[in-house]
Amino acid sequence: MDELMLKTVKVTKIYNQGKQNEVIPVRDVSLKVKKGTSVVIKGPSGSGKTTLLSMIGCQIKPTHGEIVVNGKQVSKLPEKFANRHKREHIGFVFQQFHLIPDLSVLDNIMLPLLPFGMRPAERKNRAMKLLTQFDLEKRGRFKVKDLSGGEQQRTAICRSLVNGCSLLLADEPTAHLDGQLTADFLGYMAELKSKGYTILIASHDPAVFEHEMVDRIIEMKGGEILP
Amino acid sequence: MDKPTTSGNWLERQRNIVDYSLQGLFRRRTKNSLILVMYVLLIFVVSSVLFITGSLTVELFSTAEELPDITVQKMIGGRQVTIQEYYFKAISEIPGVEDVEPRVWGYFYLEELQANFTIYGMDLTLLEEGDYERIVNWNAARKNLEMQPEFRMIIGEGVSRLLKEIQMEDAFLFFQPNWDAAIPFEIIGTFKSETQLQSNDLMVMQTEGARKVLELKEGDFTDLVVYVPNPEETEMIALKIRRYYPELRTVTRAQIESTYTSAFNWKGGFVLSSMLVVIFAFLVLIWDKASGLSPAEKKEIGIMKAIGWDTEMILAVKFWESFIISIIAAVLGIVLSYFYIYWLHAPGLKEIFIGWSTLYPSFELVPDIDIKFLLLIVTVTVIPYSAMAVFPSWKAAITDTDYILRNN
Amino acid sequence: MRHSSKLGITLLALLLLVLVAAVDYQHKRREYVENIWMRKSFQRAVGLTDLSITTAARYLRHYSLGDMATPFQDYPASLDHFPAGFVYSPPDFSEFPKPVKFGPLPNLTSN
Repeated sequence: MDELMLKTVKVTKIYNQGKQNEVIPVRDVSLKVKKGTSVVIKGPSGSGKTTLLSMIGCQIKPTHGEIVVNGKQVSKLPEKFANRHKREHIGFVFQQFHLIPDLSVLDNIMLPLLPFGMRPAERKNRAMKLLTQFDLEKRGRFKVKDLSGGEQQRTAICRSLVNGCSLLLADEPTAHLDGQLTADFLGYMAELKSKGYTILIASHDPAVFEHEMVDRIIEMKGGEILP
Repeated sequence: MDKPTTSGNWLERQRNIVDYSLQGLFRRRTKNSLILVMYVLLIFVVSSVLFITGSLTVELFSTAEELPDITVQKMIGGRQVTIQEYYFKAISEIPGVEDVEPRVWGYFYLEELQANFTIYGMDLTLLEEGDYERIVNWNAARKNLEMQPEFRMIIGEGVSRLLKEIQMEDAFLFFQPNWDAAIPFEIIGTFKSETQLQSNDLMVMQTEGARKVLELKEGDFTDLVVYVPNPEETEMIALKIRRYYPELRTVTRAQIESTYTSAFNWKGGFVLSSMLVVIFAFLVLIWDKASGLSPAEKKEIGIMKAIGWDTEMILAVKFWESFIISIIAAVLGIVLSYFYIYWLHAPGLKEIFIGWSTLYPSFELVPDIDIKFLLLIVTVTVIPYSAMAVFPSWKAAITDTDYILRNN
Repeated sequence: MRHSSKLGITLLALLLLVLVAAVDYQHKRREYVENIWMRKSFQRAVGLTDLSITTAARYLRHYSLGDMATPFQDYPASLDHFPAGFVYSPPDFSEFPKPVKFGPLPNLTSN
């Protein structure tokens, strides 16, 4: 099982269990993702892809089932350890980016590194490497609110990579992008994949799942995976 | 990319947290500067009031032991009038009384300068020997005077400064419109500045001279002082004096000391009103903190949680933000207040104590600081302020991240 | 320079101010203790009470010796019109006789 980056076993999420407004966005989802591959979870809105991705990214805890990332069971971890795992091993690119607008690009990228107790020089070093890789060197000191949509997205990607993670999760990354930026984004993903990253993207954008870098497509509907 | 060194050095992590807190403070620069200024001001006012009243009380008590045991006044119609000679004998015969001394003293109002002087009559030769000699800056002329005793006086520094303005620093002319002639007094010395707080407005002169200036007729005195060697007997003797002569009023040293204690205490109008204002303002400051975070701040917390920060770290950041401001403000407020009172001599504040008088001391006060009280001020302001700042952040930090990010 | 270093410097500067104040405090206290004999001698020679802070009114200058009526001038409802009166608490009038209690008159012959 060394080959597997991710394995989920009958993962289910139930909100308001037992009550009248009970909602089950994800039901009995089991999947396996090999290392170094890129997988797209495809499905209309409301199909549970974001919830599934959030559970894999340790943002939400599953109600039932197991999630194993890189050989480590993460679904039943207490909050502190789940946080640590999230911080050290996972990179998440949010649909709305969720960058801090008042901070500079550099500060946003370095933000996940503060809990590590790294010195400022080291942090800056790592951040600068990523900036260069994603053509953002000249924007390092700019405040995020002054950037264009594409630049913000690249900042979000850099931030998700700065912790040296190997599993990258992206939730509807192209939702706010035009065709060119979508192509740019997928280009970056391809580059990362070639460097050995495992990529999991949730999207309903045809441009995404029709791209050549995609190894596998998983379809979801109504919280379940379609066979 | 390679992995960073995980969960590094604890000290470095704390420094990172402090760095981030400070950065946060600078990002909201205007608001935080205003809060800092307000906070410093509040602490400044509290310390200043405490310092000045503390120092004045110390000055009052520095000499309280030397006060006369009982002061006796005669009252008619609820007001003080002159007391006559025949009371002395009766009072001095009360067992336990060592000595009874009549006093001639009062006030002289100088219209030109709108100044009220305190006139005190005593035997000036007493001041020329022993310890007393060293509390006066004697004027050079005193050695060769052959004038009558009643024409000499020793004045306080405030009086001396005032008289210099009208070029009367060597001799002073007392005059009232209803007098036949002015009475000249030679000024033979000035009380040294160490006694300034007590002697500032005083003109100490020979008793006969005082009598003339105060227009007291022979046989009349302003009041009496009674010396009682055994302190246990003072109350009883005072009671006896009042019983024998209901028209007399006694003021014992204990009563004077009790007046001294309460002179500047918290029930006094000045202290109470300034404290109430400060407390109220501080409550407003805390309420602002406790009433919650702005949507931007809530979102920031949501983002930090989403990228893997522990709740404790987030709270630590928020705590440091408030703690830094409050501790700097508290210490700065107290230190500034110290320099304001004891180096600058409280300009602005001392005017409240001086009121309408034209003669006033230089307010060179001796500092009287109770460290416990200062620590209390610091604790009572810093802790609630920092705690109140953490509370809404804690609420945000334990709320579902998704919920925060979606709703802000 | 890191923010935390700037904070460190600020705190050091504050500490320096505190130290200056502390040294000054010690110095002033020492001076006071050395010279207290002068104040005491003066008090012994001139037995008057209170500090010469305000000479605006007699009852303020020697408020420990003031009688009840003077702050209120000629009648009880008259207000204290000297601003410095705001600062000083009233003196201790505890020896004043207690208010009259109405009731049966004491028997004057048995005393």
